[in-house]
Amino acid sequence: MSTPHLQVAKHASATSRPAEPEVRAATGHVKRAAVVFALLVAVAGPLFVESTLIQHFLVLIGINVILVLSLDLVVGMLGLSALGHAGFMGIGAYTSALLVMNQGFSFLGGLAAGTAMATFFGVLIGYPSLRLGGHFFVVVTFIVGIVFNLLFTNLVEITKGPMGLPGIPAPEIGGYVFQDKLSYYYLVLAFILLVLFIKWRVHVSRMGRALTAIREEEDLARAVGIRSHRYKVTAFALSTAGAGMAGALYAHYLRFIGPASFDFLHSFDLFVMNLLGGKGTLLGPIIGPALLTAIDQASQLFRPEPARILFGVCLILIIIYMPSGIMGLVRLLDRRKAL
Amino acid sequence: MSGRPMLRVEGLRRQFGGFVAVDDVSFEHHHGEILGLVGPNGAGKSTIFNLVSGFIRPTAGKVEYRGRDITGMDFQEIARLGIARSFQLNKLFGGLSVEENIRIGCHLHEPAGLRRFFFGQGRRARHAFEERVESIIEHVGVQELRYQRADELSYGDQKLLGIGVTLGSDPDLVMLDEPFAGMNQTETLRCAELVRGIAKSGKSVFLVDHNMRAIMGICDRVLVLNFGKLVADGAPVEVQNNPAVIESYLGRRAC
Amino acid sequence: MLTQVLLNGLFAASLYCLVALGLTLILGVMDIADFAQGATYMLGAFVAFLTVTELGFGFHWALLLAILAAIALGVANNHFIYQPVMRRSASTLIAALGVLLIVQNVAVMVFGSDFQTYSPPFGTNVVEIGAGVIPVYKLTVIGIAVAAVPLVWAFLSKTATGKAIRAMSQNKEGAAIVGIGAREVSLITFALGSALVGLAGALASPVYAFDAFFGADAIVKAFTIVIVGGMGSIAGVLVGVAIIGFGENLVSGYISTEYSTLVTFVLLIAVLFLRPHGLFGKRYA
Repeated sequence: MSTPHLQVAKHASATSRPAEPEVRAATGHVKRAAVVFALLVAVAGPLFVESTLIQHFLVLIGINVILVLSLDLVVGMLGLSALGHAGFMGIGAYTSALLVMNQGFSFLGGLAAGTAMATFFGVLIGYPSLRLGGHFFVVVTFIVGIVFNLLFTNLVEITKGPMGLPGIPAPEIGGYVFQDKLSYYYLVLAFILLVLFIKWRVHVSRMGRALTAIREEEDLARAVGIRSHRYKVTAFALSTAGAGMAGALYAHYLRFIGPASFDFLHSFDLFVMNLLGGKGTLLGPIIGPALLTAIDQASQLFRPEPARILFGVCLILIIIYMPSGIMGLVRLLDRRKAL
Repeated sequence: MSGRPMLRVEGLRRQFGGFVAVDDVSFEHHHGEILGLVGPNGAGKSTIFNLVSGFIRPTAGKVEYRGRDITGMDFQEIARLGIARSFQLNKLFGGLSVEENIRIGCHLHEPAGLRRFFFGQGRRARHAFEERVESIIEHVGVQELRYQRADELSYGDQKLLGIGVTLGSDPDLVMLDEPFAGMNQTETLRCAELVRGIAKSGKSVFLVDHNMRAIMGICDRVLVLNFGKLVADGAPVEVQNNPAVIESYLGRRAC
Repeated sequence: MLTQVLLNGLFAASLYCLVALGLTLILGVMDIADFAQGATYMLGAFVAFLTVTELGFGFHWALLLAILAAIALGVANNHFIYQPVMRRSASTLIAALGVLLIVQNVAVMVFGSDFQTYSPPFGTNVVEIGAGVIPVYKLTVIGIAVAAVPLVWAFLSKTATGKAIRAMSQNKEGAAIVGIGAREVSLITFALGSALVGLAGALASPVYAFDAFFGADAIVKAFTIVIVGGMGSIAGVLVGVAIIGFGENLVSGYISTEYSTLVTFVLLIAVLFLRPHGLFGKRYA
């Protein structure tokens, strides 16, 4: 199958220590340098951007990055398809917006409440549905996303229905109001770093290993004592928490939300971004949104159809030819180079 | 150590619709013992194996482990109590390396907790854990394959890896489901040595297999099953000369 | 009032029934949740519409062409998309959603985004049944659905091909050993399944205003029926149709239309949690 592995094995029997650790150490330095560079660009770069349109895109990309990073906990680490992420985003958005506008919550309070609410529904839905097989879980998330959307549209007394909810105030933290796009970008960046940190910790921790085991072979994982259901629900809860958080950030940025922002198409788009970037990785959920948000936004400004067709074609090509996404290709090239 | 048996099965019964797969089976398994379970095809060996390890629920009867009633308990919890099993069709974490497979097998002993989640597992605890993983890798003999994907190993190596994963949780009772299946002479000897080594390290081993020579060679005691009923229970020498046993195998094609 | 609601419900239920039959066939035999059939439904509607309004042919021609177009789409979809996806053990459900998205948006670009309407055959003739009134056309549609169920059932249980298909759904390897071709079976399954869905779309088109996204709703509801009734079971389809088709109309008639969909979905989720293999379905392997 993949010849790189077999070649490593041949060397392995010849020497007592295979080549891999040295290769890994070398690429480790390169990776560390690249991460620092990327961080510098992310922090300093936008200061030089003058166009407010590009700043706008950066904010939206940032919010999508948070969404896809959290989605990847389920799609990448658990290996389950989830098609209702935008619905949980909407829960966070509406909760935060309404509490800040009507109950005088502070922005951070609203954000926390939005995150908590999304998490609550995540546990509520995840607990029973993660006991079912993968196929059923997809269908449940799909339906749940639609149900949430229906609720946003029809609970008019609360959400103001299809007309949407205007007049959401900009975030205020410690007296400072995030009025312009540039400052909002940095707000979003701070949350990206938080979510990225947590996701990184999941990847390198005992929990991450357990999730990987559950993804690969759940029966075996349980047979070695891994309480798979607990881990699955925790991962899903974290995922919906991230969605809720992103939703709140979204609401206070656009200052206006409507049910259409949280429909199935958005869940679908996020899923495609996840697959394109590369599921189960840390960089994939950054690359996917970076590439596709622009198209997604363009489709909302101009005719949506070509973008939708592109997304659909993209998805099918990825699942047939490039299931590990862009990061998967990068790793493959990485390994080939090492040999 | 003597006195109370480690595992006690009493009146175990399992029906599938009208078909009785296991019929009133009772036996004991003592500490440090290598216990073998044999019988013609269809005798119900796999069913008993799955009943004891918690993969299916009995229709009637009781399973006691260390004096504790584990009848019908979820196999995940049984594993956490100290019983680990391998799989006949050799389940492994296919896309992961040999080393990762065993590392996951050791999940129950990996340093855990919220603080460790955020701040790392701590050098000393981590080191101790990695040593455990390493010792199992060496015990089972897959050091040279450690970075290979599990699903790219040869069949025999995969079986060894499977046993390695089973040993990860440091169980007191190791249950091996047809460990010798599909192995050639050399591989069988290697595996038999491994099983003896496991027992010598203080664990109890419960084996199901068709390879009579291997079973009789390493087991302290052998159970013979036919048509869901226990036909014999004793030392290999006794069992081999037991007329009822001989009849069960002559009455059907012997393995 | 109740009779009228029931009569309306019967028409909607007939359409759902045809769609659910097609879906349950594909799901039961090929193990594929073919959401792309939403596109087939829409294609059936457009082809029927264009045949009548542009080509000026009679409605029976419209149905025939719609069925042929549906079969073409379904079979092509299976051959070019699902088979490669399955060979790589990837998710056909996701692929189906991708296809649906593509075909819907291509349809918008080709047909435009306006809603289309046209008048049904038999004009405004109605029949009185009890306290209610139903157009002749709708009654005919109900008749077609009622006839389709035993026909499909007979095909599956009496003909050689039908039995081959059923053998396939129960045991792929066993069927292959006996010489039943997997390729032929998948071809026929998709052809028949798509034909049923395309027919339903064509039959629905004179009654409802439709656009490129016609059928997305119906597909989701039809899948709900399939899951509630039990995947792969024809009896399950009937029971599911009864519960969902009528239930929805009752709710929308007496409560409100928006909440009828909600009720359907809540019911679906309840079924998934309590009895995932549906009321009549086989255990999902």
